[in-house]
Amino acid sequence: MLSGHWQKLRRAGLYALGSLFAVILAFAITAVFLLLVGRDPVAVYTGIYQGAFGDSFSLSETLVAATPIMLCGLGVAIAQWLGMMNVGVEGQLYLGAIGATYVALHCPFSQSWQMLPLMLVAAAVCGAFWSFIPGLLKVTIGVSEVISTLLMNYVALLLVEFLIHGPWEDPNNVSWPQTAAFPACAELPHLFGTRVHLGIVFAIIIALLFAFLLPTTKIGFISRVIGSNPDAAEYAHYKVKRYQLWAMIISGAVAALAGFSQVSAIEGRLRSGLSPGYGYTGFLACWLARHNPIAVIIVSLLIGGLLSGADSLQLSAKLPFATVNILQGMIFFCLLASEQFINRLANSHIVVKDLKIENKKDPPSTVRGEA
Amino acid sequence: MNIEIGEFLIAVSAGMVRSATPVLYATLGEIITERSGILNVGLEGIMLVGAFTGVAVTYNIHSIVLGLLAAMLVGLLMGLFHALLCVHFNANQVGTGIAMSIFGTGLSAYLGMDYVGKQINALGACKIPVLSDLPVIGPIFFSHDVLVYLTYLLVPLMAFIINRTRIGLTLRAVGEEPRAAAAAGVNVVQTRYLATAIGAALAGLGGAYLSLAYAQGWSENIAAGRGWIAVGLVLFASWSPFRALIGAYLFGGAISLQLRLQAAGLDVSPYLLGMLPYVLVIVVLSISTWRRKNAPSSVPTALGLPYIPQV
Repeated sequence: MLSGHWQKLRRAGLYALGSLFAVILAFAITAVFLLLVGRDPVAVYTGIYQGAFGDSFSLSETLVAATPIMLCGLGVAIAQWLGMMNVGVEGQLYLGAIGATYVALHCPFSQSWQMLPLMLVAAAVCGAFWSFIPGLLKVTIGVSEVISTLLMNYVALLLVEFLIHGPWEDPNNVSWPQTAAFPACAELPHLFGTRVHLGIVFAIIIALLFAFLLPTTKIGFISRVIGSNPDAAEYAHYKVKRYQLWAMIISGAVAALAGFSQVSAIEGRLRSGLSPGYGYTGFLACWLARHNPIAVIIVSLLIGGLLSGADSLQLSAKLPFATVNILQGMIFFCLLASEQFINRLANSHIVVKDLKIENKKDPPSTVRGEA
Repeated sequence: MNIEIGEFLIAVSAGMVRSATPVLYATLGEIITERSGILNVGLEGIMLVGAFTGVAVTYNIHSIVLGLLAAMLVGLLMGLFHALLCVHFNANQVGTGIAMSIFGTGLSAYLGMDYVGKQINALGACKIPVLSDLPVIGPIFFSHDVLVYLTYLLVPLMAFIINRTRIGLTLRAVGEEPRAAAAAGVNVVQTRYLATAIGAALAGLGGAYLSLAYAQGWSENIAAGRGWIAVGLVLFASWSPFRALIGAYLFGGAISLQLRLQAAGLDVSPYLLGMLPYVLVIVVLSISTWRRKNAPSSVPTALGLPYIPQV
C-alpha cells in the first residue's frame, strides 16, 4: 500500500501523462488531416514550434498569447471547483473589456495613477455581472448554466459591436469600427521591454492564491466538498447555492481581467475580434489541467505557444488560424477519450468488494424463516 | 394603415417559419438523442459542418438533393463519433459536445474558405397549389420550400413514434432506465448509437438548410449560436416535439421581427436588435424551468450518464 502522499503524486503523474498522451495523439490525427489537405505536417509543426519558442521574440509573444488563456482558464476552474460549468468566459472577457474601456474613455481624472485600478475594478464588476446572471438563474431556478453562459457569449459580442458602431465609435475614424485610442495612463505596464504585460502577473498571483487557499482554508474545504459531492454538502448544511453563486461571480471577474489586460496592454482600444476564442481555449486549458490552478498556468503557456506559433504561420505559410481550432477540438476529444483509462489506472489501488459474493452471504434464510 | 400592419405581420410570420426551420431540425434531432440518454451539446459544430458540406457538394455536383444528403451523412458520422466517445469511452458528455463545437467551427472555417461568397443555386420556394392561396395562412405557412413542409410532417410523426410505438418505447426506456431496458432484452448500446446518429443527421440537415435555403451561400460561423439555441430549446420543450415547434417559432419570430424592423428603417442599432433572439431564448427557458420547478420532472432519468452494464 502506498502512503497518501505518494498516491497523490502518482495520481497527478498519471493525469499529466494522460494529458500529454492526448495532446500527442491529437497532433498525430491533425497531421493526417494536414496531409489530406495537401500540407506537410512536419513543416507546419516545426513552423509552429519556431514561432512559439524559437527565439526570444517568439517566446515573448507566447507569453502574450498565454496571458488571456491563463486568466480565462482560471475563471473556468474557479466555477468548476464548485460544480458549475462556466462556458461563458469568452463573453465575460468581452464584458471586462467593455468595463475597462468605459473607464478609459469616460473617466474624468484621466491623467493619473487612479486610471488603471479603476479600469480593473470596472472590468471585474462587468465580468462578474455577466456570470452572476447565469449563476443566479442556475441556483434559483435551475436553468442549465452551460446553455445560458454560452448564449450570453453571443449577446456580449453583439454588445461590443453595438458600442463600437454606435455610442463609443471613434469620431476620427468612422470607417473602421473601433473606439478612440485610450489615453497613455490607461496602458497596463509592459515587462522587459516586450509586449508581455502585467496581466501575466495577475494570472500567476491568482493561481498561487487559489492553489494556497483551496487546500488550507475552511472555505476551500467546503468548496471541495460541494464540488465533489453536492448532496453531501447539502446534508452537512453548507450553503451550497450561495457558494456556487459566488464561484460564478469570482469566475467571471477573473475572466474579465483577461479582457481588461487585452484592451489596456495590447490593443489600446476596444474593437471586435479582440479575442480569437480565448475563452474557449481557456476552457480547454482548464480541462487539460484538470482544474488545478498551477497546472492551468503551465498548460496555458503551452497552448499560448500553439496560438502564437500558428499566428506566425498564418502570415508566413498562409496557414489559416482555423487549423488551431481543429487541433484544439482534437486535443479535447483525445483528452476526454483517455480520461476513462487514466481514472481506471489512478484508482487501480482501490479494491472494490465483490458485490456478488456479498449477495450470496445475504441471509435469504430469514425470508424462508418468516414463511 | 391597418392593411400595412397586416402585411407587416404576415411578412414577419412567414419569415418566422423560415428562420425557425434550421433550429427546429436540430432541436428535433436533439430530442431523439436525449431521449436515449445521450446529451449532445455539440450541435453547433455539427450544424456548421453540415452547412459547409451542403454548399460544397451543391457547388461541385450541382445537386441540392445530394448536398442535403451529404450534410446529413456528415452529421450522422459526427453523431457516431460522439456516441463512440460517450458510450464506449464514458467521456463527459458536455465536454465532448463543447469539443465537437470547437472542432466543427474550425473544420468548417478551414474547408469553407474557398466557398465564401460563392453563388449556388439555392433551394427555391414551391408553393402548395390550393393551400398557398388561402388568406393569411397561405403566405405564412404554405409558400416556402420543401424542407419547411417536411417539418410539418416530421413533428407529428416524431411525437407519434416517441409516444405511441414500440420504437419510441424502446428509446424512452433506454433513456430512463437503461439497465431495466437491457434486462428486457433491449440493446442499449445500439439504441444510443442510433439515436445519436439520427439526431446529429437532423442537425446536419438543419445546418444545410441554413446555407442552402436560408442564407443561400456559405459564410464563416453561419450558425451563429443556433446549435446552442437548439440545445436550450430541447430543455424548453421538455423533450416534446410539439413544444419544440413552439420554441423554434418563438426564436424564429424574434429573428424575423428583428430583420423586418431593420428593413422597415427602425432607428435602433441592428446589434441591439440582434440580441433579441438570444435573450428571448434565455428568458423563455428560465420561465419554463421556473414553472416546472415543482412539477414532476420530464428529464430522461439517465440523461448524460454513462451506461455501465451490470455484470
